[in-house]
Amino acid sequence: MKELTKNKIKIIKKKFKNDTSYKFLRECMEIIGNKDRFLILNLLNNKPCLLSDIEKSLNRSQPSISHHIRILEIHKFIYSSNKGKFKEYSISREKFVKLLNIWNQWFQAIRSKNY
Amino acid sequence: MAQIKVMIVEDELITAEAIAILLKKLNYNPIAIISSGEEAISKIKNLNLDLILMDIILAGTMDGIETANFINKNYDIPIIFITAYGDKKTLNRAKLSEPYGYIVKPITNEDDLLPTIELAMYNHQVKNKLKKGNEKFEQIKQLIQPDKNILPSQVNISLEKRNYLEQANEDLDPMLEIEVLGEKINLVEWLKSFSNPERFLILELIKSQPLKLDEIQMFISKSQSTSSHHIKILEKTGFVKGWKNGKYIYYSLNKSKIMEFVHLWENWIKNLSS
Repeated sequence: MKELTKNKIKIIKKKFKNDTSYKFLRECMEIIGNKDRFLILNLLNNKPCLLSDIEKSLNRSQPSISHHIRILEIHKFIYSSNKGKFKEYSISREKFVKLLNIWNQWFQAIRSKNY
Repeated sequence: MAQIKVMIVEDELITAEAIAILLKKLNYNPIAIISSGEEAISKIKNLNLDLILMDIILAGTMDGIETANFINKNYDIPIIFITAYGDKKTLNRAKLSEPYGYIVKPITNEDDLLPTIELAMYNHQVKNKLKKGNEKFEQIKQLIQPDKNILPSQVNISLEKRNYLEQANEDLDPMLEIEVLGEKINLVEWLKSFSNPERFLILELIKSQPLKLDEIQMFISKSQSTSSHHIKILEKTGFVKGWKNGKYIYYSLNKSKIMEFVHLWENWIKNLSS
């Protein structure tokens, strides 16, 4: 039985190494899986915000907010547009559409295996 | 330093103006001259006053002492009486309203006013400090009372801790306002348990059959402490449940919990993608 599972693990590990959609999902989960970033995304879902607005409503310091904002912007969860001398951040819907599609593929694959 | 704002309550306008001129010479700021007690009470809210000079005989139905009593009850402003009456009867009545000073008219030059006003302001500061000190003392007394056996040094620590906890609670409040549902916070924790590749591997492994800890440890080829750490996190979120069989604990998937997560997660992404 142990031999069988060992082979299985090899297969699974190989699959994970080459699978880009798994990487994408894991990355998304890692980024969203933080309380502050999660709250920022929820906040921006309602309306675009300036950095100072986010700071006030989350009650966090400016450096920590801009740290989270930077991470979210690098991974294209949000995008910024210039508004006078300030930057306004809004949510990028395409990223979440892509995430939903990949998640559905994944979950269907799992479902078909009598998960 | 900002100028001290003074209100003069006096029924004779000429006397009031004369006092105002003297105050200006002494570098105070007389911002209002009012003739009746009722008017003084109605205006006191809007003016950010530091001191009130009050005559005892006023134009309205209230006299100076009654007005002073009312102000003392509701506001924290020092009052000095200015009056022509120096007799014992009036003085005794005025005493009860706890004035900061008592000046007998006529007032001819600055020297009649300056010492009383300066002393009044100083006494007011001292009184406020004492009040604050007393409040702090009461707070500490209340905190100490329930645990009398604790040594003084430990009391200090617990007090600091309590203050810290109170602050932390205050900090949390705005967060709750943003958060639409309490459930959604769980989602963050659940995502954290998925985001680690080793934990994902563990979930993938035990979905087909229950496994022991040492088997899991062997398969992910990490140390015992690492794998039990991962298992602990997964158990905390509820995706994995352990059950005892003989002397081993076997771990298996909690499917209903995972379906709950999937439901919440899908709804959340759909909400953000449209």
